[in-house]
Amino acid sequence: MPAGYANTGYYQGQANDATYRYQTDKAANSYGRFLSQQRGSRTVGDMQQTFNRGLPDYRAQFGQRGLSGGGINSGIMRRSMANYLSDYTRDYQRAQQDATMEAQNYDAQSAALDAEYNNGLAALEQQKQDEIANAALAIEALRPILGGI
Amino acid sequence: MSYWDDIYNESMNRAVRTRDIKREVVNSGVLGRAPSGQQVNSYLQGLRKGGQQQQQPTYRNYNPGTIKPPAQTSTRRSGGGGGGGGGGAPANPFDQGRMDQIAALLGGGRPQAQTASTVDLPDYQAPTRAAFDPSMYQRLGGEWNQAVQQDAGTAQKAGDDLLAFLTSNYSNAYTNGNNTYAQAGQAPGQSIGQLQQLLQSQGVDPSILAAAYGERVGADQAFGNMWRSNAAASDTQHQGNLARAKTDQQNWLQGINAQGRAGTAQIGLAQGQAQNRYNERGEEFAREDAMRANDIAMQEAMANWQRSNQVSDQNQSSSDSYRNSTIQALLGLLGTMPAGVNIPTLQSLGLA
Repeated sequence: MPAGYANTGYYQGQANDATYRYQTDKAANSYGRFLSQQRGSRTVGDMQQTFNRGLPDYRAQFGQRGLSGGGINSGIMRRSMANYLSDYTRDYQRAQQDATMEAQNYDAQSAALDAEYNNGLAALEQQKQDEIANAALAIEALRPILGGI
Repeated sequence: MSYWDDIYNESMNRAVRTRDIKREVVNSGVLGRAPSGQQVNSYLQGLRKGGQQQQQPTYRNYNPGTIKPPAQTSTRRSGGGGGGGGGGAPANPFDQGRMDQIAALLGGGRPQAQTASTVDLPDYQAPTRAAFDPSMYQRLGGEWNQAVQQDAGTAQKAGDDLLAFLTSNYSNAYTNGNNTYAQAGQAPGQSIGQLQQLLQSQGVDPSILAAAYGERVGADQAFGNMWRSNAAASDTQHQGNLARAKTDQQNWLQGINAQGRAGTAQIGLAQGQAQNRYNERGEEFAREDAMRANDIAMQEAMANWQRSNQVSDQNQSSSDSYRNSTIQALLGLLGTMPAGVNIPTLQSLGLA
């Protein structure tokens, strides 16, 4: 038994608090990630739905202007369709990228929570063992008991 | 009786004995009162006339119990009145035999020298002192070492526990498989292949997807770089924690051992100081013992010296008194000593 006093229970309490915060933060992060992915999925889904609904009308306008149909496939139409699809797929992919980046952000937060929790426990253990050892180092407190040597 | 009483009594005994001897000699007649001048003249005239009876001098009472009178060599006058006439010279009591008898008497009464008896006082018995007891310091040192070892064990265990915890508890959150990050290919919605098919179905070159897709791939790479960087940082931190734990453990042990050595040194110093105090006190006791023993020896020597001097003085005084008394007695005989009788020598009297 060291000469000093080490309140190791305090560190167990701190560890419990850290575990609680970790678990709740982890759950919140997971839920946030789910919501984010849901939003991203809806976004791209909505974009695809809008695109699919608009695409026929978009092609039809070229036919109304005699730029398509009956084997006619004008350069204007091809260029316009390319731009239209390019913009769509660009926006679509960026929406996907946004969803991915949000997911990555949650993933990074999740990993950071793990690392932080791990480091927090390590720091608490370090402090606990340090206090135990320092209590043992307080052996000079015995000197008055041992006759003031 | 005290020593001085002994001295006094001895002196008085000698004085009384000397006085008795003188009385005895006087009572014998020969040392009595010296004859008067008329008696001496009468005695000498008788001698000159030859054969004429001469009146003897008057002697004091003689006590035949101690000394026998000398044999009568002439007829003693029994009647009163002298007168001329016949008869030889009166008997002379002082012949050499009588003188030798007197000398023997005087020599036998000479004082005997006393011998001083010495006193031997009991020697001083120094009290026995307990030897220096270092057991308290030994016990203290043992307890101290035990405490140091116990605390060192505690510090050692604290370091071991910390290292074990850090080793077993550590898990790289970025590489342990528990955490993965989303990638472009896992994005919701259509895949890149589906988008390519879409473009192809619309007669559009699918290569137009490349620019946006490249952004997605680039973003993935950037995120991946950050992820791996965090993973490396986590490992570095873990290694740092391990190194710090080992260093802390060494520091704790060194600190405890240093304090242990300091405490042991202080206990030894305290014991040395106590030993010195004990030794100094012992020297004081030894000096006191020597002084007490010396006091007793001085008392003993002084008493013996005084007693020896007193006896010697008493012997000398007795001898002088005896010598004076004897010489005085012999001088008193001079007037009655006939020719041819020698005074005893000092040797014969035991005075030389």
